[in-house]
Amino acid sequence: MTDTLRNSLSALVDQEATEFEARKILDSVKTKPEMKSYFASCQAVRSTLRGEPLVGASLLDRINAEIDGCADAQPILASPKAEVETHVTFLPAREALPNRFAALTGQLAVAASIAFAIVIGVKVVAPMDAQPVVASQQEPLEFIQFQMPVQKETVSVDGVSSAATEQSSRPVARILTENDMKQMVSARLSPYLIRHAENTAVIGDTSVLPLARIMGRDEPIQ
Amino acid sequence: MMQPVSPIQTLEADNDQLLVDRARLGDRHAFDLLVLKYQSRLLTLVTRLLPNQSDALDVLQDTFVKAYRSLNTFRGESAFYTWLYRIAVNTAKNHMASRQKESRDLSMDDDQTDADQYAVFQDLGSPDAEAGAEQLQGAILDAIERLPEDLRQALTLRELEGLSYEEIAQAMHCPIGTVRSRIFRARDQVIHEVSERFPGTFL
Repeated sequence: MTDTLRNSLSALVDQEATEFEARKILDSVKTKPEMKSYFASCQAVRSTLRGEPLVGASLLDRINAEIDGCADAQPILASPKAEVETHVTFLPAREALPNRFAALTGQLAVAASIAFAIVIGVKVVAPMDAQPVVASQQEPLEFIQFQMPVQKETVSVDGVSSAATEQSSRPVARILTENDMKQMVSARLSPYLIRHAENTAVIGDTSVLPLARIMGRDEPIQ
Repeated sequence: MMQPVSPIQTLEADNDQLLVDRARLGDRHAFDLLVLKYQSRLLTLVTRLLPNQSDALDVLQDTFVKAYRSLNTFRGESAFYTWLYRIAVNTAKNHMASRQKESRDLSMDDDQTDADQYAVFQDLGSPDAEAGAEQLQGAILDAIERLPEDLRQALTLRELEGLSYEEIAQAMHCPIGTVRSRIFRARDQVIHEVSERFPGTFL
């Protein structure tokens, strides 16, 4: 058992372990039974200083034996995770079919909405007669975020006159600069990196490639 | 008006909640850590209700088995120890009630000898075990006495005064990391020393 693990166990005794450490301990204790002994020893030091009675290891053995030997002591196996798995496994095909159809319909609806938004956005940002103006802009368009119009409106067939007259009242498009892009990427990456570090702490040191890739970027990770 | 929750309380709840969550999913090692963490504290409580050491240990065992079976009902609204405390008190009361009933049944049974009656109530706790525990506690206290001053001070502030690492850091004018390291080294040194004196114990 390493010093780091013993240090983490000592912190867990004091309720000062981080979540990463606690998870690491729980994963390591399965293969390192001596960690449990060390934890018990730390508790014994505490109990002695606080004048509490020491309890031998036999109590834990008796508790485990009773839990193992008593069928009533196993309701925990009906965990939420197990319930979900059973539900998915044994769902009859006749019941599963409408759900799948509903999911497909939902996906199609979302795709149609996105396509519609893109068409409207293109009409507004780059009307047919305004194409040369957009093409002549010095700053390249890196990313365009579309927003659906909030109020009811009528779109003329030619799409020219209405776009020209109503352009000021339509908050439909915004051109994002490179800084905006970096902020967005950073905002999305931070939770991802935290999650990754968390998983790495749990699984071990087998997956550090995303971190290595991110370290090569221009800006330090926030 | 709501009481402000200190960071240490939050941390404590988080540590226990993680162990409970894992135990709920069938991780027996997580539950073992919970037992090891609270067994001495609960035994102190149960011994006040049931002075008989053997009865107290039986109640303690039943308490943890009941807790394991009822983990799904623990919603984290109170501290885990508070929840355990209620189970222990109820189990001890039931135990006392059943003992009183047995006592009445025995008094009505004419064939029961005095020796048999005594066998029900006598203390079944092992004197050897108690003596061993006392020796162990003496060795732990000796080892703590021999610790360097800074380590002993950090450990006692934590264990006797119940200060958080942050509070100890303020009291000792050092970073929290140093406090954590000192407490760890103090425990490690004590455990190492006692293990050498009592090889084969649970230490």
